[in-house]
Formats: sequence, structure tokens, C-alpha cells
Amino acid sequence: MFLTFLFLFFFLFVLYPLGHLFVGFERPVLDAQIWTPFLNSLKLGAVVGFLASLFGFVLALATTQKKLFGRKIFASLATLPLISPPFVLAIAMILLFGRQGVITQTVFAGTPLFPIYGFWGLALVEVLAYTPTAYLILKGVLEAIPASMKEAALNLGAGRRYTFLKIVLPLAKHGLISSFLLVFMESLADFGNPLILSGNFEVLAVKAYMEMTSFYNIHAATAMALMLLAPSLIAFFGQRLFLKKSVVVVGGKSQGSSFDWLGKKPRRVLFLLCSLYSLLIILMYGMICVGSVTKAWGVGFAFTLGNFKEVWELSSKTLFDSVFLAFISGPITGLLGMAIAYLVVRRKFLGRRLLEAVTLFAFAVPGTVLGLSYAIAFNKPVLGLPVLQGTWAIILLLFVVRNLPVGLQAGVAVLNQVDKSIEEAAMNLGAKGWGLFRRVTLPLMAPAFFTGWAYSFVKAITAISAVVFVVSGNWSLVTVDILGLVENGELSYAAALSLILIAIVILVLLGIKFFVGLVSTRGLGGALRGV
Amino acid sequence: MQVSIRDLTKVFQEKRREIAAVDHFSLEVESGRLVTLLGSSGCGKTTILRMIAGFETPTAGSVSIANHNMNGLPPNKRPVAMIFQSYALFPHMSVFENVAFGLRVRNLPRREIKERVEKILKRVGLTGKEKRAPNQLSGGEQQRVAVARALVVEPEVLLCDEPLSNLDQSLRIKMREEIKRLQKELGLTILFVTHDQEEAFYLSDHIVLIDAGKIIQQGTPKDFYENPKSDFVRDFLGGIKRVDGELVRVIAKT
Ligand SMILES: Nc1ncnc2c1ncn2[C@@H]1O[C@H](COP(=O)(O)OP(=O)(O)O)[C@@H](O)[C@H]1O
Ligand SMILES: [Mg+2]
Repeated sequence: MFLTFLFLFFFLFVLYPLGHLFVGFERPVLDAQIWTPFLNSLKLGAVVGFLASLFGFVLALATTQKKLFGRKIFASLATLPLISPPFVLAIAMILLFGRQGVITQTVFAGTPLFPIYGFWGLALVEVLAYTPTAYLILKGVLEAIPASMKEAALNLGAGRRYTFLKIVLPLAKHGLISSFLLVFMESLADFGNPLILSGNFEVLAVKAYMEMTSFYNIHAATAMALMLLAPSLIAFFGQRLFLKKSVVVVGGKSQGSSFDWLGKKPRRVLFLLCSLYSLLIILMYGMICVGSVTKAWGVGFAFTLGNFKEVWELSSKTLFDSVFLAFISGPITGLLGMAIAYLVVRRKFLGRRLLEAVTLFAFAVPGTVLGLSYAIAFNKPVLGLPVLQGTWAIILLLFVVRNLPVGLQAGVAVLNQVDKSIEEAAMNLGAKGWGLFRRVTLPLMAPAFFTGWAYSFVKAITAISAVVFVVSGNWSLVTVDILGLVENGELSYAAALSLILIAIVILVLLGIKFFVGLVSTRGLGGALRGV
Repeated sequence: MQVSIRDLTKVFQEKRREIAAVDHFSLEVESGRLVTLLGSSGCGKTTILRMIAGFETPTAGSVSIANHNMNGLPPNKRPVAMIFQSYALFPHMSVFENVAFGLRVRNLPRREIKERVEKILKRVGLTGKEKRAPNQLSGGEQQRVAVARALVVEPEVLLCDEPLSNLDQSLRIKMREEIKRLQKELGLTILFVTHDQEEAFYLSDHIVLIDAGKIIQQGTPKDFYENPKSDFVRDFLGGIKRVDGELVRVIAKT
């Protein structure tokens, strides 16, 4: 019964809308108009994937050194971009290096240091926005390398450099590739940053949006969406393949060790690199703060608190809508994710793998593609449902479908840890089916549930690429409002609204953490790694 | 003396509390001997080995090996090899590469590496399994790789940290026989850590019983049986019974 519901759900809200992309597809659309943005997207994704993985690796290496001064601070700053919409960094970039940017005006006398509208500006911002993803994956990978592995190498006479090159790096290799592919996917799907910064450097996600909303050219839009879908799917399944192939540590458990295998000099270098990176992050977010209290950016730089009042009047409704929808998407995603995890891990039934694959599939589909397909598919009544386009339901559905894979992975991770014998003991005592799940398994899975909740909330409230296609006059989201402000050149308002959004995210996260005490970035990292 | 440990002390700082994991520990080990550090979990055995290997800096005291003072020397410059409790085999390398690791580090010629690795693999009975990955081996075979990898670099001292504790009972007995045989054949100097008194008695030339970082009693297995110094020693050894009471009378039967 529940299974039927699940399969129906995925059919209706993943496969059915995506099917619409193929229906509208026509070959002649594939001309030069589409190849340039396609190649641009791939190039951007590759560069960002490489650089973000490099940065993430350095940060992960540093924060896993117990003796590194300030590692806790570096770790929190490294993940800061996760809790803000990615394109907030693009705003900061303009405030710093744009024509009216602080640095441009003060240091370079009005001539921008480098063209921020185009490939390099965009790449830099995306690297900063997606380094946290790489960092969390690689931190998990490095933590999983037992200390005894490095000690054994040193014990056999290897120096620190040799140990790093022959032991640590090879053991992190699969993690590095997997991080590259995931960031590549995130960059492909990114919508907000290229919309603000791409300039003449056209990318598919933005182009598809333009075709759909400005020119009403569904053929072109769907063709571009499909072109976006293909590399993303390849990257996703490649990433899963690499994770499966990663090497397994054999032998018994080993104790943690406080031995400092890296040594003083490399540690100083790491400290320096992390400090520079952290300074850049502080500068970016500091700029958002400065921008939010500056009257009409670019015209005189006068201090004001009026921006907050203005944006509150403009956007308090969408702000509430965003918080409301993102907040309730949390428990739905958490519960569904755990239920599916339970079915996939503990029950044997036909289509078990299929259920898992279909759930994860939603993660492989770029937000832009899913959003576009929703806009086309649910513009008309389906299966007796009323028209979804323009309602809150379609936004909520997108949130849930997009974040379910992470909820599922969090659930699977916990279930694999929870000893099956606990459940079997309960079964012997007469618990079964739903009762067993509710009384025994559910409490054991509570941490995964709340991790899923927190993750969904953050992801949903900062999301833009999918939802931008399904918002309407009645139901809009704050991220869409911020983007609109940027497009109108209202940078101060955009900064103020971003700041309010970030504050709300932090408050809600602290709230969840306070009440549960179970949500941690480690859980988040685990979930990210699993997907 | 092959190994000479003087007043070795390690104090860990944990949440403003000081734990003396090792407390003025002194020991002399002659070349070619197998000496066991015996004690219950948490008594400081691993910490002693880690200080000898250079992974922990002693709070006080000194270690010297083959008449060289080890203080301040980094782990990769010490003439010791360690067999870890978890084996710590490199999962991304074949059996051959695992064993060859210590020789490659030393930049030996290929031919010599091949010869030495094959020779030691033959000794531990792993010939034919060179190409396997560690996760394609049984627990006992993994153990042998760990032994081979440590022995191939011809260390002055072999340090073993409960190497048999991850094996099942029958394999444990078999492996300890092999270790004893290898030690006799190759004349190895071994510092062997265990919490299993039976293992200690089977293997050792000399046993050092430790509690809370301090030596309680040391001597040959025979010394321990014939002259346990305290109730603690008796309790730990379990097998030796003491009967309390007073001899009242002896009844002789005619
Ligand atoms: N890195 C460390 N930091 C703090 N305390 C430690 C550390 N390593 C060991 N200890 C403490 O020192 C004591 C001895 O530990 P250990 O040498 O591992 O014992 P054994 O190997 O005999 O079981 C224990 O109380 C342990 O908690
Ligand atoms: Mg120990």
C-alpha cells in the first residue's frame, strides 16, 4: 500500500514531468546557438570542480590536524556558504570588484581589477560557493583514513612527504574524484550566479530559463534542459561508481591517535592557506553586511538602516512563505527519506533497488531541468489533480523531491549502523510491521530524521534553480526576490534581504540544534558523501 | 643491551586532569629475546610501545636501542618495526607492495627488493598470494602480511601490539606458534604486548607484569609460578591458587 503510494509519487513527480522534456524535443534545435552555452557550462563545471576540490582538500587536511591553531574557526568559516543562497557571493563580488565596487573605487581608481562579468568572475564565485561541498566530502574521506595507516608508513621508514604521496593521497583519490564530479554537477545546475555574473559567457541553465520565460520557446528550452541533463547524469553515476570502488580498510578497529604525522612546516603552510581563504570568506560576507547598511549602492556610500525597513515592507510576505514552505518540507523529507531507507535496507521486496534508484535519480537531475519540466507538466490538470502551477503545493513538491535523496542517504547511513539484532529482539517480543517501525526503528533513526530536516530546510530556503520556474504572483520565494533586486541594480536592498535570510537560517538551525542536540555538520557531511 | 628503557614516563593531559599512563618504567632487553608486556586494558602497554616507536614523546625518561639514544628521533629514523593491533595494511596496495613498502622507502635496487620480499613471503607462507589485495585475504593471512612487512626491513626490535587479539581462538594458537618459531629461527628481539596471560606464558623468555603504568613483577614464566610476589599477581595469573587457613593436624593413615 505504502509502496504503491511511493512508486506512484515518484512516477507522478519525477518521471512524468521529465517525460515532457522528450515530447517537446526536436532535432533542428541543436545548432550553434546551443553548442556554445553547452561547452561553456562544461568548461565552467570542470574548472570549478577542480578548484573547489583543491580548496576543499586543503581545508579538510588542515581541519583534521589536531594541532592546527584555529582549526575550529576555519571549519565553521569553510561551511558558511552552505547556509546562504550561493548567489549571495555573486552580490558580494559586485560590491567588491564591480564598477562601483569598494576595492575597484578605492584601490584601482574606478577600473575593475578583472572583468567579473564573465568566465573568471563566475568561476571564482562558484568555487567559493561550492568549496563547502568538496570540503565536507573530503573531510569525511580524510577522517576515514586510520591514523595507524600513516604511522605504519612512518614506522617503515617513510618520510612525511612520502607518506602523504603514497598513502594519504591514494586513499583520498576516490573522494577527490567524487568531489570533483559532485561540484561539477552543482556548477552545471547553478542558476543564480550565472544569471547575475555570466555577462557574455552564456551557460545552459540561464539560457534555458530565458528561452522559457522571455521567448516562450519551449522547444529550445527543453532541448537545452536535455543537454544539461546528460552530463549531469553521467557525472552522478560516475560518482556513485567511484564511491563503490573506493578501497576498504581491513583488519580490526584502530584507536584514534594524537600523533602529528604532518609536521610543523606543512602545518604552517596549511595555516596560512586557511587564513587567506577565511579572510576571503569574511571579506565577502562582510561586504554583504556593509552593503546592507549603505544607502543606494554606488551613489555616495552613505550609512542607513532604512534598507531593512524597505525590504521588509517589500518582501516580508515572500520571506514568510519561504520560511513556511522550507520549514514544513523538512519533516516531510525527513519522514519519507527514513521510510524509504527502512524499506530499502531492512525489507526484501521486488523493486527495492528500483525504489532507491528512483529516489536518488532526483538528485542527479539539475534543479533547472526539474523546475522547467514541472512548469511544463503541471500547467494543466493531471490525473484529476487541480492545476498545480502557481500554487504552494508545486513549490513544496519540488523541495521534497529535490531533498529526498539526502534524507534517504542519512536514513541508510543510520540504519546500517543500528544493529539489526535490536529490531529482531523487538520482533521476538511481538512487535511487527508498522508497530515495529514506529516503536523501535523510528527512535533509533531520530538523528537521521533531524539531520534530514535541517538539511532540507537549509537547501529549500536557499534554493533558486528549480523553483524559479514555478513561482507565481501568489506564491513566490525570497531568493527570487533577491535575484530580482540584483537584476534591478538594487544591490543594497539585495544585501539587506540576503542578510535577513541568513539570520533566519542561523536562528532556525540553532533552534533545531537546541531542541534536539543531534544535528551536526558531520551528519550533513555524511549525507552529502553518501549521495 | 638491545633495548634499554630508563624511567620512561608519560603523563597525558585530559580535561585538566593528569593521567600517568606510564610511570617510571625501566626495562632491559637482551638481543634475541622475546619479552612480553602483560597487563589489563588501559595499563599503559600501548603507550610504552608508541614511545619506543616515536609516536609519543615521553614526559621523562629515555629509550635506547642497540646503544643509540632514541630521544628526539622521528619515527621514520628509528630501527624498530611495529605490528599494529589493526595490522594497518595499506588497502590500496597488493600483498607484494605492502611488504615492499619499507624497502622502496630505502631506495633499494628492484632486484634486491623482489628477492627480499619473496624470501620473507615464503617464510610466512604467503607465496602465491603476492598479487592479492588485503581485503581478499583471511584474517590469518592479513596477520602474516603484517609480520612480513615488519620483518623485511630487518629491524633491531620488533614491536607487537596485541597482534593476535583480532583472530579467533584456534588461529590465535597457531599464529603464536609461528611467531615463536620465526623468533627462534631468525633470532629476533621482540617486545610483545598482550593482556592474555596464557599467550604471555607460552611465548615469553621474560614477562613484565604492569598495572597502572608501573611494573608489578618481572621474571621468567617459571619465576611467576614459583614466586608470585603479591595477591595481585596471583589474581592476574588466575591459575595459581592460594589456600588460606592454618594447618591444624595431619592425619596419617596406617
Ligand atoms: N592520546 C591519549 N590522550 C589521553 N590519554 C591517553 C592517550 N593514549 C592513552 N591514554 C590513556 O593512557 C592509559 C593507557 O593507555 P594504553 O597505553 O592504550 O593502555 P593499554 O594499551 O595497556 O590498553 C589509558 O588510561 C588511556 O586512556
Ligand atoms: Mg593497547
